[in-house]
Parts: sequence; C-alpha cells; structure tokens
Amino acid sequence: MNGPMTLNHRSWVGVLLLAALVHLPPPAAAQAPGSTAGCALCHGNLEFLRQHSPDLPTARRRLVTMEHIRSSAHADSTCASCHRGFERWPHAATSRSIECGACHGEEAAAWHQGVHGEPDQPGAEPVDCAQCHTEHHTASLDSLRTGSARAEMNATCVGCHETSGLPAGDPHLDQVGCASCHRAHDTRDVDEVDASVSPASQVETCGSCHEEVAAAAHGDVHGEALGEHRRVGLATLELLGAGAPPTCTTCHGTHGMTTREGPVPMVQTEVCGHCHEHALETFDDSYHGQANALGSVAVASCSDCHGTHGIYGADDPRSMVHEANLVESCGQCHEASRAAFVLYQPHADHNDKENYPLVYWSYRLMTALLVGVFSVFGLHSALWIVRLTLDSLRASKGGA
Amino acid sequence: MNTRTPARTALDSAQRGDGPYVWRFNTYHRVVHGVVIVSFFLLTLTGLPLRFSCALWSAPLIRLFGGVETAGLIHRIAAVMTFGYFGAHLAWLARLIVRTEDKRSLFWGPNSMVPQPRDVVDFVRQIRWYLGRGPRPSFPRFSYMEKFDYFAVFWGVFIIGGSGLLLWFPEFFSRWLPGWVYNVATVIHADEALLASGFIFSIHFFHVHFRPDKFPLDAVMFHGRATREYMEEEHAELAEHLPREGEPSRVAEADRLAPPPTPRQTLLAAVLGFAALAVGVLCIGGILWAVSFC
Repeated sequence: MNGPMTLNHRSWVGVLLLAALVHLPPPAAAQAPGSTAGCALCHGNLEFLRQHSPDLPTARRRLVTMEHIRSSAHADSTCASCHRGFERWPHAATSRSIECGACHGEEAAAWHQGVHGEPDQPGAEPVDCAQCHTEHHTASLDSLRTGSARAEMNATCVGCHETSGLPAGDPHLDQVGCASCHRAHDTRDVDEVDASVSPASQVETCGSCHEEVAAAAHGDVHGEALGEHRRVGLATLELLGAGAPPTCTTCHGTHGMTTREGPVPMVQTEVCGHCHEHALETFDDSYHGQANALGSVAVASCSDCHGTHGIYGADDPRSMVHEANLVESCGQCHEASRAAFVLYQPHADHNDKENYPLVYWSYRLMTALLVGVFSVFGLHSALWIVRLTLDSLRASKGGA
Repeated sequence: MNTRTPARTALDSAQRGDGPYVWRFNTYHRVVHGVVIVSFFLLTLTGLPLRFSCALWSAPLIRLFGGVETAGLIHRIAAVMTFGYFGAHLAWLARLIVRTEDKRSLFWGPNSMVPQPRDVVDFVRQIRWYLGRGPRPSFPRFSYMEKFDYFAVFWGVFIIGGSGLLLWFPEFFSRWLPGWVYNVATVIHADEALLASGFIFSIHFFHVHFRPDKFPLDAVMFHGRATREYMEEEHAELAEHLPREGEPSRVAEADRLAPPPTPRQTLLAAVLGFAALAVGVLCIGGILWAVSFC
C-alpha cells in the first residue's frame, strides 16, 4: 500500500530537532519513515508529542507504542493501512485517517442502524468505533468471546450504561458479553421492533443459546399469544404493556435475572401472579399457596403443576393439568395419586358458586357460624361489662 | 362489707373474698386442662400462620417453629396430644359413670354438665340482669357458659380433628373419597379452627378472666380451689350446699374444704395463667391484624 519513501530535507530537520530536544540517539537508517517502526519513533515518545501538541491530553492520545499495536487485532497491519498521508513530518494538511468501515463494512453498516450510530435523542453525538474498541488496543473477536477481553468490553458498556451492569447472582454475569443479547453493532432500544431484545425478538435472541427452552416456549400458550400479537401487528410498546403476552424477560427479568435454584430465585407466585391474578388468589387460599408463602420449598408452586416452557391450557392433551395427565402430574409429590385423588381443585374459588358450589357453600356456612357465635357472645360480653360498670357506679354513689 | 381485706385485692379472683377455700377442680381436671392448653396453643400457633399466610407476622412465626415442615410436624404432634386427651377423657367419663351410684345425677340436675332447660332459663335471666330487669342469676355447679365451653371442645375435636385427619392423609382417604373433599375440609378446618381459637382467646378469656369482677386472672383451674365468697358469686346455687367449717358437703363427696394455695402455688398459677393469657391475646391481635390488613 505504501512504497518505500525517501526522507526529504524537512523530515530530517524534524528528526534531528527531536533528537536534540530529547537527547535521543539519532534514529537508525533501517527505521524507514512511513513504516510502523518509523512512526513509533515519534509516537512512542510522550516528551516529543507534548512539545508538538496543544496540550498534554492530546499528546497522550497521540502516544502509540509498538506494544499497543502488537497486542491488538491490527498487529498485522501497518500504521499507514489506516492513517493515510502521514508519511512526512510535519504531517501534510491533507493527511487523514480512514474510516474503520472501509475495511469493516458490515459492522459499520450495522452500527449506522443501531442506537450508537444514529442516536434517537435529539442533539446526541454518535458513539464511534473508538469509544468502545479504543483507537489501537482493539481486541480480536475471538478474545471478545471469552475471557478478560469480554469482561473489559462489558466494563466499557457499563462505563456509559451505568445502571445496566449485571448484579451479583445473575446467571449471565461473567458468562456472556453485553453484545450477546444486545448485538455488537446493531444495538437498539428495547422498544424498537427490530431490537434483538424487543419482545418480538427475544425468543430468537435468547434461543440462540437456550435452544431447547426456546423451542418449547415457541408453541405453548405464552408463545402462541405472543405470535398472535405479532400477527395482528401490535406495536412493540404494546407488547411491553399490561396484559401483554409474556416474552422471556417477562418472567425471567433482564439484568438481575432469576433462576429456579440460583442465588436470586424466581418467586413464581410473583412472576406468574403478575398476570394470573385470580389464579394466584385462589392458590393463596390453598394449602399449596399458604405453605409456599411461608417459605416451604417442598410444596408445589406454579411450575410444578403447569410446567415451565411448554405450558398448555387444561383442555390441551399436552398440558400437565389435562385430566388425562393429572394422576401423573400430582403423582410427582403425592405417591398414591389416583383418579379420585386428582378431583381436588387446587384453584377452588370460595366466591364462585357456579364452578365450586361445595366450597362456596362450605365457606358461607362457616362464615355464618363465625359471625353468629361471635355476635351472640360478643353482645353477651359487652352487656356484661355495661351491667357491672353501672352497678359499680351506683355502689360508689351509694357508698359516698 | 366495707372492710376490704387484703385477700379482696388478690390478682387471682379465686383467692378474693372471705370464707374457707373449697375444692372445685381435682388433679385430673387440672392436668387435662393443662394438656388442652399446651396442645391448643401449639395447634393455634402453627396453624394460624397458614390461615393468614398473607399477614406480616406469619412468616416470622413459622420460622420461630423451624419452618413450614417442622411447624407441620409440631401441629401433627399436638393433634395426637388432642386425640390422646380426648380419648382419655372419654375413658375417664366411662369410669365416672360406672363408679357413680346415682348415675342420673351425672346426666341431669344441678351437678350435671349436660345442657338442660334450666340453662336456657339461666341465659334469659342473665340477659334480664344485664338489662336491669332482674337479679343476677345463681348458677349451679356449671354455668351455661361453662357447659358451652366444655362441649365446644367435643365439637371442635370432631370437626377440626376429623377434617385435619383428612388433610393429613389425603392419599389414604382418596381410596374412598373424591379429591374435592379436601377443598371442603380445608375451608372447614381453617374456619372452625379460627372460631375455636378466636372464641377461647376472647370469649372464654372474658368469661373467666377479663370481665371486670374477675380481672385480671382466675387461677382456679391451676390450683383447683376457690374461696367461699367466689363460689357464692359464681355458683350461688351450689354454694348453698358447700361445706362449712366442721361439716361435710351435702351434695358431693368431692366438695371438701381445701387448704389455701401456698405462696408458691399462687405464684406458679399466676405465671402460667398470665403467660397463657398473653399468648392468647397476642393471637387475637394477630387475627385482627390479618383480618384488617390482608
């Protein structure tokens, strides 16, 4: 790309001046200007850069050592691959660094689509390549997929997105990069339909790692409802709103994700009950719900009966709570589960006369008994207090 | 009547007033009542948190008992105690019937625990007294309130114990019973238990301990004896027949004069009595809290 260059008079004056200023030995003739080693002569010397920069921060930014380059993804490129027209010193006014996109066209195009290339807030500056990748110490893609480079990159994201770091206990912490879910370059706001983390895309995005889970969730009641919403073309924001069909993050959360056994356990009654309010109310009236609320881990919670990914309505033969599967489902805990046993109604509603008449009338009868007994004896006691008080008042008056 | 002897101000209303002490409850009565107290408190304290799992106090209380599973075990142990004292009492009753010469007196009359028409009359008289339309009624050996409390235990053990057994062994009973029986059993067990604990800790406590003329404690069931004046006030009809100094009872051999409780017995009775009252009142507070805020 750049042929061998001969040093002209002005370049040599500059080099000699530099040597005089910083008491450096004169550069070896082998370090040809325009070669990477030649650039490092000046750009590896902070003192020189400081003399020729308006301020120290600028000088520091111009400081590029050979170590920087050798450990970067660009170790095999020369300085001139990206910085065109800087061969002579002082550098020509026409010298320019090329756009990263000249080589990384796909990434640049994706970046332009995303929120970093085209900020949606008025007046916001785009976040350019160097702000994430740094100017020279760019990590290779392979290193970003594992290890410390990924942690560094995540830290870079969190540097701006201060509240978005994964908290301790999150199962993804130190396991995946931010870009795994949010995409590296085409990063979008969650309320954009095409965002990788939008409700409409989550099953695909999460499913790229959690394949089995995504496959099961695709066809179940939650997946069907989500699909139906997408078919009728509801806007993404409506998918995020109340009454929306659940996506992955609706149940699992986002940053600070819960797991069943993990340090941040998923509280199913809260998560499922967020939408299934009536089911939660009736569950709370049952022994299952009461023991669950008091912290029992042995007692059945939502998913023990209904499953997790792959939940179907009770009238679907694939459902764990379909009448044909109840003996087996209840049998997970109740060893002698049998046809008569599973006639138990785990979500009986004592206010629903139509569907649960026995529970309804038992509850009414018991309430009447309680109200009756406490009314009669409450009044009996109250009158007793009144009588004794009146008597003692009269006695003290009589005594006085 | 104007002279207030120190005994009149005793904390324990059974020790207030003049007259010699007479035996009211024998050792068997007191031991059984003690077992009832212990098992009833264990059942209530491990059961109420389930009934009111929504209340703020329920989870800490269950943790105090070692978690849901341990609390469940304690609940079942207390249930076995309950069935135990209930069975023992039936056996004691059988023995009492066999040994009593005048068997009729056990089932009818002023010394019987069996509810009878005079209890309705007493109830009406009590109401008339409240309203200032008559004198305070004089009760026989057991007032209608005491009879109600006594038979409430039978009713409770049958209803709560029966539904509790169903819920304890659902798989076993499902050989004969459909599963929805447990839905009904849950409602009945929970609300009947709420009735029982609520009744004991408010109405029973009021009848026996908290009403102004007995406040704050009646320890007769702990040390077994009461002053003659106490008996004249609470069981006037019986008191007429109670023995006076130097003469035997005219109605029952068991009605004998008793030595006054020793200071140690008095202290022990007060400590146990107040502890039980405190726990019971806290339970009522918890129930009211849960009913108001859940």
